[in-house]
Amino acid sequence: MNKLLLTLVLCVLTSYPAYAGDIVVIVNQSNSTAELSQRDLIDLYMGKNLAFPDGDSADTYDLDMGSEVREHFYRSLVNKSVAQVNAYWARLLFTGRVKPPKEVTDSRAIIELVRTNPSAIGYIDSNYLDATVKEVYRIH
Amino acid sequence: MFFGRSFPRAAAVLLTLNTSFLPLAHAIDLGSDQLRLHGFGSLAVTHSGDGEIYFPYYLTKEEMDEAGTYFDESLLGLQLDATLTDSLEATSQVIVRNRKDDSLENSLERVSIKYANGGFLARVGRIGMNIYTLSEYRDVGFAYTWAHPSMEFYGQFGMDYFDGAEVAYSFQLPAGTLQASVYGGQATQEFGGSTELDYTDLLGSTLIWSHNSWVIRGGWFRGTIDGDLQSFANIRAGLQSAVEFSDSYSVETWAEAEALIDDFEIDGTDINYTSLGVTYDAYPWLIESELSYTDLEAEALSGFFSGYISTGYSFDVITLFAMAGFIEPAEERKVVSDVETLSGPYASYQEELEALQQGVQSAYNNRVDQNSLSIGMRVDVRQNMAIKLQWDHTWIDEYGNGLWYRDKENEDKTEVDTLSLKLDFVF
Repeated sequence: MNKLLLTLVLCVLTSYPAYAGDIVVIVNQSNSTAELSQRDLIDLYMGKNLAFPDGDSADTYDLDMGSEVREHFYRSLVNKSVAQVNAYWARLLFTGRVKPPKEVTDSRAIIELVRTNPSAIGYIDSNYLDATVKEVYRIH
Repeated sequence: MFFGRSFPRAAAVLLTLNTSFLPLAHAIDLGSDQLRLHGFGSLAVTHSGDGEIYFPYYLTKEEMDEAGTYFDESLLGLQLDATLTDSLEATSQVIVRNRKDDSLENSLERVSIKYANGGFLARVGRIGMNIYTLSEYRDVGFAYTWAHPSMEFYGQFGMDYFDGAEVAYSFQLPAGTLQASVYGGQATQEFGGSTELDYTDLLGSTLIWSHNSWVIRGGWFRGTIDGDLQSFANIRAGLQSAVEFSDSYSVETWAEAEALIDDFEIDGTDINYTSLGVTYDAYPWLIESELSYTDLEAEALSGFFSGYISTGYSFDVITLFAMAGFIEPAEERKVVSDVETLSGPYASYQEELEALQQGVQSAYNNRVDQNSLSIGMRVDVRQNMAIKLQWDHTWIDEYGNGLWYRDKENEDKTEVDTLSLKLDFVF
């Protein structure tokens, strides 16, 4: 029993490493959106309004669970941990009403999806940003 | 010992399982963007009851016959979503758990076709009842803070889904979003795992306003009972016999009998339910409250008020919470008159008549009237997994133990403790 409790405590203490770099939110170059507000991003990533400001529907992409960038993104956006965001999405997902963002393995994969999909929006480690996609929001 | 010897052993097994589940982290990849399989589950051990009161029946789909430690809050759910077109999607959800009837029809708790376009949404099929905050995810423990929600508020209905259709529309307001929905169909309500009632002509509507950290929701539905309870049918037959006995032999048996028959006629009577809920979710605080009023046309089933308020405070991955809930009847308990004392050739009917009177009174005594105070802790051990510990202390008023399995009618005030340890996860 003591060993189990120790495992539990270690899980808690070692769960979420900090991320120190910038995060950029990117869209396809053909997307008419020049920039997004924090409110727009919350609406998109919390399933409240799955459309860009011009009304076009949006395909949202998430980094994998366990990603430091993902943890920092949601902490900055809604001041919640990924576990708390997952709990929030569980409410929506299992009602069959709204689909959560699709998970992608890393920043490079998100750039590739955004480059080829005019409706896509994702967030990446700023070190991976290149001219083939458009930055619409930055988290320092 | 208050919680018994088996609870610590069962808790140790559950915590061991947490270690085994650590690699579980992602939705199951079916290799197709059109098909997605998600799941949720709970491993739970709950100790509840004393010598005469066993278990709050909303925590189980199986009947209980003694106090003790149970795993009945444990379950596994799988949801398969299929994208048919840009606007059309099919969803099916199967939940495996300990229940009276394990048929596929009962286990298949959701199966629907959804059409969504902009703010418009329409669904047809077997859909979650959209009547209170947890309506559609009451079984997804990872989605909420507690090990289990308020017994008083969520214990009153065993109606998790209905067969029918729903239309909803979301509006962007200058401040926040408003979602309005209307639904209709038919449903089955389970009473403590042993009795069911069907509802037809179900019609409901919900309004949900959300803005920043606030969500306010109002819900209403009505339905008509289609069917009967065996216990009520027996009482009606007994009352009818007493009336016929009086008429046949021109002897007074029980003057009140004829007037009581209609009280136990529930087929075709209506139920009306109204609820109001408020949620304030701004890290580190999470405050939730809901109130409801249930009006039942059948006289033998008293209407009731219920509600709860819960406060949670998070320290990163740990959330501490406290909750207070209540449920109380909207009407006074009915007390029936005594039967006549029969003599001569009719004396042999006396015993049966008195048993009938006691049975009728017992039915009027079967009410829900209790308050609970709960405290607990949620620890997010993984990004998709949480361990929860919750202790509920319940004060049951006289004749108020209708939410519990029990040995006998409870005429006295009682206090009961419930302790739950739960591992909730989604994938």
